[in-house]
Amino acid sequence: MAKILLIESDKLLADNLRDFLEAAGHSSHWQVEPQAALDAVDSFKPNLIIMDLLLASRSGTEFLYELRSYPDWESLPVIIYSSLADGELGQWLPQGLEHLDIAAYHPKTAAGLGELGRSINCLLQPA
Amino acid sequence: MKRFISDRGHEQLMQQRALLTALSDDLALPLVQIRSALEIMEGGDFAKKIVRSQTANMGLSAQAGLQLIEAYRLALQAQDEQSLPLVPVSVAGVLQDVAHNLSPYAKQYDTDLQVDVVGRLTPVLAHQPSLMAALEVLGASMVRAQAAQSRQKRYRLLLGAHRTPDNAIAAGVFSSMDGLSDRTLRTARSLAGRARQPLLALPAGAASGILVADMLCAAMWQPLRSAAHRNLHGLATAVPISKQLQFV
Repeated sequence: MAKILLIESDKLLADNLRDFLEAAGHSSHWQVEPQAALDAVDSFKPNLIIMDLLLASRSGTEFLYELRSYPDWESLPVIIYSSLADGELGQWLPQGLEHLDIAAYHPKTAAGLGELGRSINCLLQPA
Repeated sequence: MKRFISDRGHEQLMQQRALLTALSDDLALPLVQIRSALEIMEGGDFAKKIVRSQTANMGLSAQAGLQLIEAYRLALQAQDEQSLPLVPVSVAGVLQDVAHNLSPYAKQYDTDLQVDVVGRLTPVLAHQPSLMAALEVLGASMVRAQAAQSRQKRYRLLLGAHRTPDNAIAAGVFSSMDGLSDRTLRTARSLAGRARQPLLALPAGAASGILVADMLCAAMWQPLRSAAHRNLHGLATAVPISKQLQFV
């Protein structure tokens, strides 16, 4: 069982994702706002973060830069489950996400919860 | 003259294309909601009560998507027609109908919808289906946007109307969310179809409702503008009071 921090701006989708994670035996904590999510990383101490890049009020990329700036969270696994399609990501973020150490990228329109679940299982398996 | 029509036609075409791009982005949200709910239901043996609630949620997501398509269709129709057939409409009545239609959807986002009409307002000349559709998609967008800005137990959204100092009737949707101003709205109009978040304060999936409502209101009277109502901020359209109707 893992502790998963979910950063998702849509409540209905977040409810579904939490139901899915809990059915898979994980405990989850949901935030909509990047600043509150940073506080939650501190208090909830997640093993994994699942997040969107398009959030209200502050960009998810800004959140990632800040997260990676703290030595404790440099290697905390992050899965992007985003409203941005693969092709759009390049236009939106020309430098890409490689330097932010993203474990997996799933566009919401292309990937269902099954694919997300497989990525989670891969990341949480002991090496 | 021919050149003028061609430029205008080109401008309209670009506007429609931009709106269609924004719409396609926003229609993805209800479909992703439905797909994820179905995947959860397929994966487990749930009690009837949970299945019923998930089915109701999927119905509301589908309805939100269909409502956006209907509003878009009306916006296109409004662009094609020289002038919409305007009839006397009670703004208070329309707000009540919108609140009735939108309440189940708002409830999913922990939002209480209230109608607040200040004083007695005379009927206005409006294209009722367009006014209803504009307020419904605007309301649905603001329900989602408000819930995306911060986590609260309950949210409040006001469907309000009041008389303005220049004797028009302002009708719109008001909340405690940040980031809605005339400036951000102008920027959003120019970024529509080119940026995934034309309104930065709104998450993905909420902007096209506002842009479609803006087009519908512009076709009847004036585009949306930022306004305040009972200390809440929001977006409203100013409806001119018909002199003739004041005597009816």
